[in-house]
This record gives sequence, structure tokens and C-alpha cells, in this order.
Amino acid sequence: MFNYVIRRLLIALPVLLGVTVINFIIMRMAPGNPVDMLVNPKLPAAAIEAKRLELGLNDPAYMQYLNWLRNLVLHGDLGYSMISYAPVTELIGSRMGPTLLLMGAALVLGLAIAIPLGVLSASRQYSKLDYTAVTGSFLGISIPNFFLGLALIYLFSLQLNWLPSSGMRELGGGGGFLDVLLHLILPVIVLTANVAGRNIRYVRSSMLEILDQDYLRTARAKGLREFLVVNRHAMRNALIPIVTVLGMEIPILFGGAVVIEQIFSWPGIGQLTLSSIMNRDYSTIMGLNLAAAVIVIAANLLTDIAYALVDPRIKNSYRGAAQS
Amino acid sequence: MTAKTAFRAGLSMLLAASLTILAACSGNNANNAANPGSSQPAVDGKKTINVGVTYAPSGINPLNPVGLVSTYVAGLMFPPLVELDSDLQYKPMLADSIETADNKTFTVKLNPSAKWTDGTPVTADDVIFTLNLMANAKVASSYAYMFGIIEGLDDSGYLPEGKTSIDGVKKVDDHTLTMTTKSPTTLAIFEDTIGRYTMTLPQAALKDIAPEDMNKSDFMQKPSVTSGPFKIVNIDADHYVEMEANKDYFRGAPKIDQLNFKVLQGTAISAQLQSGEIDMNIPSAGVIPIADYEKIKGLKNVTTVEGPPIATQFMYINEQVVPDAKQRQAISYAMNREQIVNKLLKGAGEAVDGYFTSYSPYVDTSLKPAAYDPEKAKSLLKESGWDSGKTLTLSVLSGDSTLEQASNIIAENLKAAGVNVKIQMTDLATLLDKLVQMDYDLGILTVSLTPINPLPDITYFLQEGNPSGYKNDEVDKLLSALAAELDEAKIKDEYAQLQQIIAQDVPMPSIYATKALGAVNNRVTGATPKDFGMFINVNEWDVQ
Repeated sequence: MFNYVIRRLLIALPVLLGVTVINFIIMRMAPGNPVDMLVNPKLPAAAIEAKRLELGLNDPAYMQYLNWLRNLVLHGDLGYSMISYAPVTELIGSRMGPTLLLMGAALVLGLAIAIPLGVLSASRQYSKLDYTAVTGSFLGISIPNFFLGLALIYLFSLQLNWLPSSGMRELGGGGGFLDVLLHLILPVIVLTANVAGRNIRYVRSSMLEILDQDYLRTARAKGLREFLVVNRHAMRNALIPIVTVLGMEIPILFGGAVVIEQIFSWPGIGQLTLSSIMNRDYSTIMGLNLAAAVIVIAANLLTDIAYALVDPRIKNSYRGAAQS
Repeated sequence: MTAKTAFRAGLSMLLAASLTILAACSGNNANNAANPGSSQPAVDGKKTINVGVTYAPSGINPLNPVGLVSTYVAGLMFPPLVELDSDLQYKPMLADSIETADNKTFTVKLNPSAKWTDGTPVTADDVIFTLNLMANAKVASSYAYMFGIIEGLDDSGYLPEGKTSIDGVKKVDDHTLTMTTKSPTTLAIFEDTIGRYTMTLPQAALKDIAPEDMNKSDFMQKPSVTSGPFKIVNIDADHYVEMEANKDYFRGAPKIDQLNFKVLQGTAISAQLQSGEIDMNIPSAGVIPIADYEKIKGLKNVTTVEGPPIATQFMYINEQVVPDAKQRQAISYAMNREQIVNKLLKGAGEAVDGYFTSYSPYVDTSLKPAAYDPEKAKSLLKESGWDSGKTLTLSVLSGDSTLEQASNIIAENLKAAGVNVKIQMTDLATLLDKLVQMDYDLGILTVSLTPINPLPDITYFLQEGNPSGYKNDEVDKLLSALAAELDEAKIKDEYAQLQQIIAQDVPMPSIYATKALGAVNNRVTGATPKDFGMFINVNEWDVQ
């Protein structure tokens, strides 16, 4: 298992390198550059040149990439934003917390709803509860995030005036637990509806498949209560594919958070991503891209490890592979 | 452990973990009672005003502010020498007065009571230190060119290699300095450039930082020693700026405790004004979509102010593609400006057809925007031998829904007159790149000309190297004459002559200028949302 993890980590390195190279090339192929965005074109040519020089944009493109890579590998330094001159690691670091909080809360709540509902609706297939859960799940998937977000703002912020419509805390003070919680409610509802919607269907269908299996008939035949049949024997196996889905859920949430963070002015990385792309802030784009790639690869790796933990057959196959 | 209890334990662990993250992120003081609905933005009984803006304060470094909101934030920490007010007069800020007897030597007297937040006085040495930094090519300030009029600097505003001080700047005493310009300059232009863009920095705090490290220094990310009415507490450029009052501000302690800027989508402004989450906007930097004007004017808790027409949509025409002045005139005649202003803007703007709106002191009122006349456009195109099979690409800035709709009207107008047009929406970086490289046919971009000193912009639009490929010797002569002219009446006359030529040559017709709406919550007193001089009296703002 340990060898397997090490091997996976070693494979991840060239993948990350490839991601940064591709990102760098695509980014440089896009029209426009940070200098156009920073300085008025009416400036004298010498002034524009001074800015290019200062930002290091006059070096050949491959040198700029190699410099970036060298600083990253040797100093763990992602450079400075070309727009605000803030260190990129700091820019990303300070915004990652709020994004993880939002995503984590949505993931936990979404699964807390999806798993019990999926199991229940599978074990009572074609009941009223089943139909309700499936309909609810379709609603959760098909209502666009931005629409649900705006509808919630309209209802809870404008009409009822119960909840704030934007930000993570009151500006100027604020920031207490309750303050953050109140700001968290609306965006989390939107993302949770999405996560739950997607996963109710996965859990339900995975559970339905298992419930037909012979070993459950055996369990019932030996007189086991239905509750134990479902929750002990069936669910354990039904949740294995869910672990895979969970790994895919994280990149999806990351993307969805960009939209939600913009609607709710949530101080996460979503807006930073958008504005750095709009401003052609090369160094910030590279940093964000690397961070996203690391998260996706880490999520995949964790999924595979978790997979091995819940399913002993897989662990054995790893062991076999390592020994061969 | 049964599967069920294992599941339960796992779930509660996950929940606990997420709550720990929640607590960790929520940071400083947990004893704060939160504020559902936020209709009372006062936290801890503090007097707070929240200002909604639609542009991010991306770089608040006063040597290199990026965009409008950054300039406002930088100015609140480091007041400029003078500031332009909405009546287009300059009001003293850090400088008590700027005077000149010969239009070459300008004497700047600083406010003697101005102090840094560390208690030391703001002196002429600080101003000179700041000017030297602005003039250092290693700092690469985007505004250095404004200072190119000073003796001892090149036209880009930089010091020659090897020099560290500016010949034309002399200290007289601790609170007085003189600046000499290369050629005679009007006081208005001096104030509009050096007066507005010198945001004095503390020499004591910065003298040990090398100029090439200045932009990246911690100080420029979050200045620790300031002199203006508000100090910075926290900044997240994409979302907010939190500022607190400087009780020792030399023009009087602010009456409010906290001033925050919230970065929002334009469409969110009306909702947050209504809920009280923001108290006001900055008209041209917190742009309200025109579709929301009526709704905001109807809000009971808000007073609205209609601003002057400033932000103007210009039609860039590439003369390599449309070489004949008659063809460009035809484009101008084909556009139904009145329809756009009356139907689309619902009157919140004006039809324009040149560089100046009615707000400018230099507008030639004898010239009217080209009237909508598709027949005339057709006959002009016919005369010029326009190839009606040709299709032009109209590149339009995306993101402004009013402009997007206006572009559709214009494209239809042009088609009706016989010019085939295909609209291409692009983001700002792409559009600017196309214009600068002259890799476009037609383009629409919003430009706001400075009302007092429009010459740098107009020179850029008309002189060699302009984005249209336009060339007219007579225009070049007028531009040189304007650059040297000191007599206001003659300046006006020369701008009038320029406008007459432009009306014939039509290098880049404008279409419409919007009147940005300002809105302010009635609980705020003393503050008026306006594009120029909004924060001059910020220390007198209060909340009820």
C-alpha cells in the first residue's frame, strides 16, 4: 500500500509539470497581456517598455517559464501578481480557506442528505418517499446554481431580511462564529442542493443493484431483520462506488464554487480566478492552475486510497501488484 | 462496531471537522453578536459606511494605483496635493495652495498641520521623496508620464540614467516646495497632473526599500504609516477593503469609525442598497445597470443623484479597412443615436458625436451629433464606391449589457444603410490588444475623458500611432498649438477648430455617453455619490 502511494505520488509530478506547461502555452496564446491592462495605451513607448521590463515580460517566453519553475522548485515561490504585486502564494492561501469551508460544508451536508435518502428510497422503491426523493434529486441537479442563488437572495435577504446576501462576515468587526454561519447558509444551501441531487441518484441506483444480490436473499432467509439487511449488509457494499463519485465531486465543486462565490461575493478563490484571467495576470493564473491541479490529483489519490480501505479485495490487488 | 455506528461516527467526525474549519476561518472575535439581515450595519455600535463598487481595488499602491477604485482607496490613505471637485474646481487636500506667477515655477504650500499616523509631520521632503520615486524607471509607475512636464525629467516622466533627484523640484522650507516646468503650463494642467497624482508617501518608512523592490514591498500591499482620513485595516482586492478612521486627520477627524468598500456585481447593487448591506455607490466605479435605475429611484430608504454624462462609447474605425472619410461619415449618419438614448438608456445619457460631452468646458455647442439619416448614409457609401459585399467585424466589449444591446441596434442600423456587420464580443484585454495592434475593423470601447485636461487622450486618438491609422497635418498643428497654449479662450477656440475638422474626417465617432446613477442611503449625511470629489469631505460624513 505504502509503495503504491509513493508510486502514485511520483507519477503525479510529471503530470503537474505537464499541466503547468500546457497552461503556460495556452495562457500566452490568448490575446492581450497584463501591460495593456495596467497602463494606458496613450503612455509614451518608453513608459510601456519600462513596465514590460519591470514585469519581466521582455525575456523569451521559455525563459519566463523556466524562471517561474526554478523559483517554484527551489524556493516554493510562485512569484508576484503582475497586477497587485502581492505574492501569489499569499493571494491563493488567504482565499483557499473560505473556498474549502464552503465546499467542505456543502459536501458534508450534501452527503448527509444524499446517503440516507438514497438508501431509503432504494429500499422502498416505488413508494411515495422514493418518488419524492427522486424528484427532489432531479430538481437539485437541474436548477442552475446561479438561479437558485438569486432566488434565495431575493427571498431571504430582500423580502424576509433574515440573512445577509453577500460576503463571509460583516465588514468592520464581525467574523464571529455566528456571523460566519449566517453568511454561510445561503451559498451552502445552493451547493448542497446540487451535491445532494447528484448523489441521491448514485446511492439509490448502487443500492438497488446490491439489493437484488443473492447474499442478501440468504441474509433474509436466515431470518435477519430487514433493517440490518439494508444497513449492515447492503449499504456497506453499495457505498463503495460512492467513494469514487466523491473523488469526482471535489473538482466539480471547485468549478461550481466559482459561480456561487461570485453571486454571494464569497471571499474565496473564485473571483481571484476570474479577475486574474480577465487581467491576464500571468503569475496568478499559473499559481491558481497549479493549486487546482494539485487538489484534483490529491482528491484522486485519496479516493483510490479510501477505495482500498473500504474494499479489501482492492488492497489485496495492490499488494499483489507491488510484489510482482 | 456495526456498519451503522461506523457510519454515524464517520459522519459526526466529518461534521466536527467542518465546524473546526468554520471556527478557524471565522478568526478574531467570537463574542460578536452577529447581525441577521444586516439592515443595521453598525457592528459594536461603530458608525460604519459601506460603499459598493464594481471594479476591484487591484493595486492600492499610490505610485501605481490600478484603476479607479484603487485610486480612491490610495487617496484616502495618502491625500493628493489637490483634488478635482464636481464643479471642476480644484480643492486643497495635502497642499493648502498651489500658485504660479509665470506659469513655469509653481509654489506648493503644504498644510502645516498634516501629520503621519506615527505622529511626525508631513514635510516637503516627503513630497520630494515621492516625486523621486515616481520618476524612477525601476518603479515603472503607470502615472509617471503625468510628471513629464517637470524640468529634469524625460517625456515619460523618468529621471535620466544616473540621476536620483529632479532638477526642477526645490525645497523652500519644511512645508513649501517649488516645481519648475519645462515649458509654460496652465495652473489647471499642473493641478490635473502633478496636483492630483502626487500622493505623498512617508520617507521615513520607505527610505530603506530599494526602488525596484518598492511595488512588491509589504508597505505597498497594506500601508502602515498614512496621513489621510482613513487607514487600511484589511484588503481582499476581489471582495472588500476595510478602512478605519484616522482620528488625527489634519482636515478634521472623520465622524464615522469605519469606511468599507465592497466589490460587487453591478446587478447586486440594487439588492444590497435595498437590504442596507451597502449604503452608497460611486457612480462610475460602482456602475448600476441602466435596467435597475427605475427600481433604485423607487427605493424609499435611498436618495439618488443623476451624474453628468462622462463615460462615452467610441466607435473605433480602422482606416486600413474604411479608408474614405465619406464612408466613415456614412457610418456616423447610419447610427440611430437618439433611439439608443431614448429607448435603451431611457434618457439617462446623451447622444454624442465627438470627443466631448456636454459636461466638458471645451464642447463646441454649434456642432450637433450627426443626425440619423440612413438615406444620406446610403448615398455617401455609393459615392465612395463602397463594396456592399464586404463584411466588417464589430468588436464590442462584453459584460456591459446596455452596450451589448446598443451594439445590436448599431449593427442593424449599419446593415440597413448597406454596411454588413458581424458582432464579436470580446473581453477587455483582447479588445485592447486588437485596437493597439490595429487588428480590427470596427470596435466599440468605453472611454472617459478627463474634463479638465483632455489633451493627452485626444493626442493619443489623433496623432501618429493612433489606433485608427488617422493622419491629418492640420490636426497635428492644432494639437501642438494646444499643448503650448496658456490662454483659456484660445484653448477653447482651438478645441472648437479641432472639433470642426473631426466632424468632417470622422476618425472615431462617439455614440452615446451615459449618466451614471449615484445612490445613497438616507441614514448617511454629508455624502453625495459623484464621480469627481466624492471623498473630499469624507471626514464630514456621518450616519444617523
